[in-house]
Amino acid sequence: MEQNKFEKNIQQKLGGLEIQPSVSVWQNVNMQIEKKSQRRWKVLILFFLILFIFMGGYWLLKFEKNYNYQNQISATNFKMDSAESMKDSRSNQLSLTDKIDTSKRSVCNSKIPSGSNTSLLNNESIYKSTIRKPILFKKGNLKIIMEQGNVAEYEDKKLPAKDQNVNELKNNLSDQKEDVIKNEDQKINLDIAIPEPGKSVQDSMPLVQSEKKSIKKETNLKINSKRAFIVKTEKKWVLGITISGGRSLVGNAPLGINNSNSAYLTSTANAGGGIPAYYTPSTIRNSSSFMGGILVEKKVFGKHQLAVGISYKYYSTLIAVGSRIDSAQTSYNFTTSQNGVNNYRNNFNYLELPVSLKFQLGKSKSLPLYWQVGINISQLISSNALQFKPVLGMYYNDNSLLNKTQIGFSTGVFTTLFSKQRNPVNIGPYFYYCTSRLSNEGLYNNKHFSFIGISAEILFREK
Amino acid sequence: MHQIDYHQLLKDCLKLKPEAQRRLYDHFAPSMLGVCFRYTKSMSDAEDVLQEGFVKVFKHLKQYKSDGELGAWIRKIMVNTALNYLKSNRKYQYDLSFDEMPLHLVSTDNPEVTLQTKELAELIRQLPTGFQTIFNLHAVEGYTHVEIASMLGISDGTSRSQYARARSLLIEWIEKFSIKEQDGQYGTK
Repeated sequence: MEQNKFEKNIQQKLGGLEIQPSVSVWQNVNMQIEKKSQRRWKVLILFFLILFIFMGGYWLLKFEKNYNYQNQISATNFKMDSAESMKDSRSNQLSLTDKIDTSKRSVCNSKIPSGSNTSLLNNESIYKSTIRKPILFKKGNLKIIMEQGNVAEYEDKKLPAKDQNVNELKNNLSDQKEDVIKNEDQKINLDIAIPEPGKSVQDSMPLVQSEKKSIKKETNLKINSKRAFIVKTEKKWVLGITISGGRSLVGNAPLGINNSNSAYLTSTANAGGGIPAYYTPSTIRNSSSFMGGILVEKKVFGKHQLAVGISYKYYSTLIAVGSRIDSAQTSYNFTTSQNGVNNYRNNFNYLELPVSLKFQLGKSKSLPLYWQVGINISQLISSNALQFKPVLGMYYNDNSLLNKTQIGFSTGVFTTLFSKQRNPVNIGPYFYYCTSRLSNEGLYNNKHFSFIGISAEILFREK
Repeated sequence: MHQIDYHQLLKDCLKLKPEAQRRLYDHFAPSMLGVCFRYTKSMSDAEDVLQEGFVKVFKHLKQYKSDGELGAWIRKIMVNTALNYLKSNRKYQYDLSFDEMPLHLVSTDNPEVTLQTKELAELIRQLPTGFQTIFNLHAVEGYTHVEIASMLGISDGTSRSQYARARSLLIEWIEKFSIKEQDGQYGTK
């Protein structure tokens, strides 16, 4: 216990030791906390943006599916060569005939439920009018425009014989009739003729028989090419190249706005003390920029397109410097512009991964217009950008001050030239803003890159 | 010192309110710098540790459970930050090598410490870094030798031995310093 007396004494004495820290400690702590919270915000914003893009994409996809589904329902109205031939073969037939109102479309689903009324179809063929792509009717005259892949499936199935029940069939079909009515605004006329017992569906469908003959009992029936116009859709990735040229803008805000060195001057003024014996750097001027790369593009939902790629990006800025101090040194070192003006070009070379979505505006097929939004992640490969030492009034090269990874957002409006040819060209104005800071200290402190220019994409479609 | 509503202060800090963060810092920074000062050899190092420690405090404030004392929690962070700083800083690495030593008997001397707090802290800082660290951890923070051993990755025997040496060295210095002080006060004959 005696031994602890010394330790207790020490504890008492040192427990009350308080020293006032210098002001700079809090400034540094505060700066680091702010950085962390800003980073958190950036991550949060990025997350919501990605979420928004995906949700938007999902919604559009769903919308597209619904649209296709409604068209599928429309498409199941069998196209008959003539209304009269239908009338003739009406008796003892299982058919779904639409009396199409010239002003309104009728909708019906003619799918025969598998497993029901199989006795009727014993050893007979089931006709399935599964049409995968939309069929567009023109002014009710049954002229069909179909997309590639439209097939009327025709299957030969040996089905077990069962007792038939015409009433059951009637009920089933009337259920179907209710199911397929999707829109009450649309006038629907279903005229269903129930086959007589003992007569097969196959027997009662002369049109189907004729189709069957024409395709020689193949599983899939292709719609007569005279009646269907096949439109190719690009569902595959299409390779292309992209080229952009314009002006790189640097500033504290988008479009190079507020490109002053005020923050830089404040920090240098605080660093010293007494008379501020420091030099000021010349203003950073905007200069030329270009990008080039490859991309792959795909129609993701309907007419909209997703593009990913890899590009090389070049940005440059101009700065007025004096003469070079020591040419033997590997790193650049220039005096301020007070000793004569030379223009020095700061080059920034980036490797970029752009991901973009193009939404078609309007319905023009000959000259389609797209609005593009994208996110670009770029990595600095090399740079000869100068930094500035205010005390010596000297420019020098130090890339460690630059933030290597940059994230930015792009937007643009594109029109497609030669859209029906093998090499269509998307061209239009393009804007990019880099949300990441170019640097957290030095001459480019808190500055962001922007780009404004013209962008062009040349796609290479397959034959 | 006026009473602080720690609960409200914590809530505000968790909402990232800058004024609350500043208040928390202002309240604890002087005493925590006292802690950092004892573990380092210079004031600038102590401030570096303080800065790093407070960044950790704000970063991990969510993990603080309000059943314990906030000051003790922050102090623990400061001590751990200081230890990491000593380990990672080249300046301290050489001194911080804890060689296995034969067990040194703990001195039974218990001199009355008449020194002022700052003077005592300065004396502790004069100890070799290894001694200084173990002395601070055991005598001031109250960690056991087993705990110190696990914190520093040494055996508890080494910790005991180093502490005993540090203690006897410090007592020797305190006595010398006290005599000097007295001589200075009354003049030498």
